[in-house]
Amino acid sequence: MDFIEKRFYFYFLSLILVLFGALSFYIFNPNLGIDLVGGQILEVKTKVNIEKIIKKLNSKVYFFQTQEGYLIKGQENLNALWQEIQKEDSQSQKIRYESISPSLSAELRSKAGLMTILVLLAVGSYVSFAFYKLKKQFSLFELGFIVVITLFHDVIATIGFYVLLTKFFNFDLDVKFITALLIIAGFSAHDTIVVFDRLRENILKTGKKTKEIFSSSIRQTLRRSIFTSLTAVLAILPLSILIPDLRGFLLSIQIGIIIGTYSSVCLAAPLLFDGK
Amino acid sequence: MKKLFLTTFVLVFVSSLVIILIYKNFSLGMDLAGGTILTYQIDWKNIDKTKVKNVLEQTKDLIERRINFLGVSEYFVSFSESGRILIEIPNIKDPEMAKKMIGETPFLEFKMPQKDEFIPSGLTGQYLQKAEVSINPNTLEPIVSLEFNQEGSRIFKDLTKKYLGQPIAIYLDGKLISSPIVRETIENGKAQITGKFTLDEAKLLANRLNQGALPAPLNLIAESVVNPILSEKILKVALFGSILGILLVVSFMIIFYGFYGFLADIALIFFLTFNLAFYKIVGVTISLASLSGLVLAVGMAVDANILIFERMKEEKLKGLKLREVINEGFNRAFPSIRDSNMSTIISSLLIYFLATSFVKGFALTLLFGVIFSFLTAVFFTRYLLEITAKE
Repeated sequence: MDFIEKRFYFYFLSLILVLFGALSFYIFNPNLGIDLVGGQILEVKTKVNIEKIIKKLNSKVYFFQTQEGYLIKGQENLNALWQEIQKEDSQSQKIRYESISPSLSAELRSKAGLMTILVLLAVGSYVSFAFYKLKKQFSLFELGFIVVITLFHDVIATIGFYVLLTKFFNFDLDVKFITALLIIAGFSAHDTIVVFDRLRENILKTGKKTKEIFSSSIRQTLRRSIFTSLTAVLAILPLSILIPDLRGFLLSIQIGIIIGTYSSVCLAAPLLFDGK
Repeated sequence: MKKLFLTTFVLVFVSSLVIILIYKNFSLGMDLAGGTILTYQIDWKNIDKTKVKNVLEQTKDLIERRINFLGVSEYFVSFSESGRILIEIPNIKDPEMAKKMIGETPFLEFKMPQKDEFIPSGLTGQYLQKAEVSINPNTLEPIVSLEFNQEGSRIFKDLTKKYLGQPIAIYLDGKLISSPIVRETIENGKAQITGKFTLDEAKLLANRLNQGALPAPLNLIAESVVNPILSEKILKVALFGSILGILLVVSFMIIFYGFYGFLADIALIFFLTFNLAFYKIVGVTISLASLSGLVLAVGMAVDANILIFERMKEEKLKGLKLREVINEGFNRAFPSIRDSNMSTIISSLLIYFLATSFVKGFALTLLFGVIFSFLTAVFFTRYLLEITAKE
C-alpha cells in the first residue's frame, strides 16, 4: 500500500478520530473517578439484593457485579448502606473500601493538571529536539507543527475510545487514565522518530524528496513500527484481561500505543511530505 | 575490553541473583497483601501559626503511641510538614477499630438530670487525671475507674452534692453508658464506669481516656481498605498474568527472529533479574501498578532488539559480512532507540515526581525498566551476537 498516495483518507480518518475524542465527553458523559471528584467505593460479598437496598435508602450510588460480589460507588457516605447490608445478611463481607474526601480530590485534580502540562511540554520539547537534526531537510516550523499535531491526535483519539469503553465496562475517568494519556504522549513519538530517521537517511542518500522516497521510507520501517508496538501491547494484554482493577488503565495504554503507530505512519510522515 | 564487559555483566548478574535469593520476600503493596491505608490531615484552622511545629510534634507522638497500642506487628507512618499523615497497616483484622483508635479522641461526658432528660454538666474527659481498669469484686465485671484532677474533683463534688439520690449519666462519644444513682457526695474525685464491657473493651477505653486529646483535630481525608481475601486471589492472578505477558513477548521474538530472538530473550532474562534485584535494593514495593510498569517495560525492552534485527536484515541484503552487519545494525538503529526511549524516560520521571500512590509505582518501574533495557537490549545483546557470530 502507498501511504502517501492514500494520505487524504487518513487525514479524514484522523480528523474524525479527533473530533470524536473531543466530543466524547458530551456524547457519553463518562463517570469521573472518586480520586478526581471525591467519593466512596465499597466492594461487598453478600447475598443481599443490593438494588433493593439502594432504592430503600434512596441513595444516589451506582453498583455493578464483580467476581467477588458487588462494587458500589458514589459520592455519599456508604456506611449506612453497609449497615443495612449487614442487617439483612450478617455473613456479608467487606472486600474493599475506599474513600477520598473532596478536599483531597481537589488537590489531586490540580496535581494532575500540573502533571499534564509539564509532561506534554517536556515530551514535546524533547521530540522537537530529537527532530532538530532534520533541520537541513525540513523547516523547523513544520517539524514542530507535526510534533504537536501527532501528540494531541494520539491523546485525544485515545480519550475518545476510552470514553466509548466507559459505556461498556465500568471504567471511570480518573488519575490513572490521565497518567495513561501521559505515558501515551511519551510513546507517541517512538514510531515517528523511527520513520523520520529513515526519511533523513534516504534523503541524504538520494538527495531527493520525492513521493517515492517518502513512500519507500514508510514501507521500509512499517514492519518494525508495528512490531515494536505489538510487543508492548502483547506484554500487558494478559494483565489487562485478568485484573479488573488494571483493565481501564492498561487498555487505554494499549489503545494509545496502536493509535501512536497509526499516526506516525499515516499522519506524521504524510504531513511532512505535504509540508516539504 | 570485551572481556572486562562480560566479567562485569556476569558479576552484576550473579550478585543480582544472590540479592533476590537472600531477601526472599518482596514487600507487597496493600492491593496485593491486604491492609488499610489511612490518610489524615491536621486541621490548622484554629491553630496559631507559632504553634504549628509544636502541634506537629505532639500529634506525631500521640499517633505513634496510639498505633502501638493497636498491637499490629508492622505498620508504616509518614508525616509531612503540611500536616499530612499517612498510615499503612497491613493485615489488620479490624480497620474500623484502627480508625477509632488513631483518629478519634474518646469524648467522655457526665450529664445531670433535668426533668426527664440529661443535660451536660460541664464535667468532661478533659478534667481526667487517669483511668484504670479494675474488676468489681462482687459481680466480677470489669470496670473503669476514673480519677479527676483538682478542678474536675471540685466539679464532681458539687455535682454529687447537688444530685444526691438522683442519677448522673455517663456518656461516651455521645452514647449513654451508665446512669448510676448518687449515694453520697464524692470528694476524692474518683468515679467508676460500670457498663457491660468485656475486659478488652474496658482496657481499650481506659487506654484511650489516658492518652488524652490530640492537639488539633485530624481529618480523615482518604481511606483504603483491602480485605486479604481479595488480595490473595489478585496476587496469584497478577503474577500469572505478568509471567504470561512476558512469555508472549519471549515467544514473539523467537517466532519472528529465530536465533537472534533467542539471544534477545536471554538478554531479557538478565533484564528481569537486574530489575528485581534493584527493587530489593531500593525498596520498591510490588503492587499491581509496579508489576504493570515492569511488564510494559519488558514489552518495550525488546523494541531496541526489533529495531536492531530489522536493520541487520537490511544490511545483510546489501551483501555485508556478518561482523559488519552487526556493527551497522547497531550503529544505525541506535539514534532511534535512544530518542524514543528518552521521551519515555522523561514522561515517567515527571509522572513519578508529580503523581501520587498508584501511578507513582507504575512510573518508577517503567522508568527503571527503560533505563536498564538500554544496557541489556543494546549492549548485552550486541555482545551475545558477536560471540555467537565468531563460531
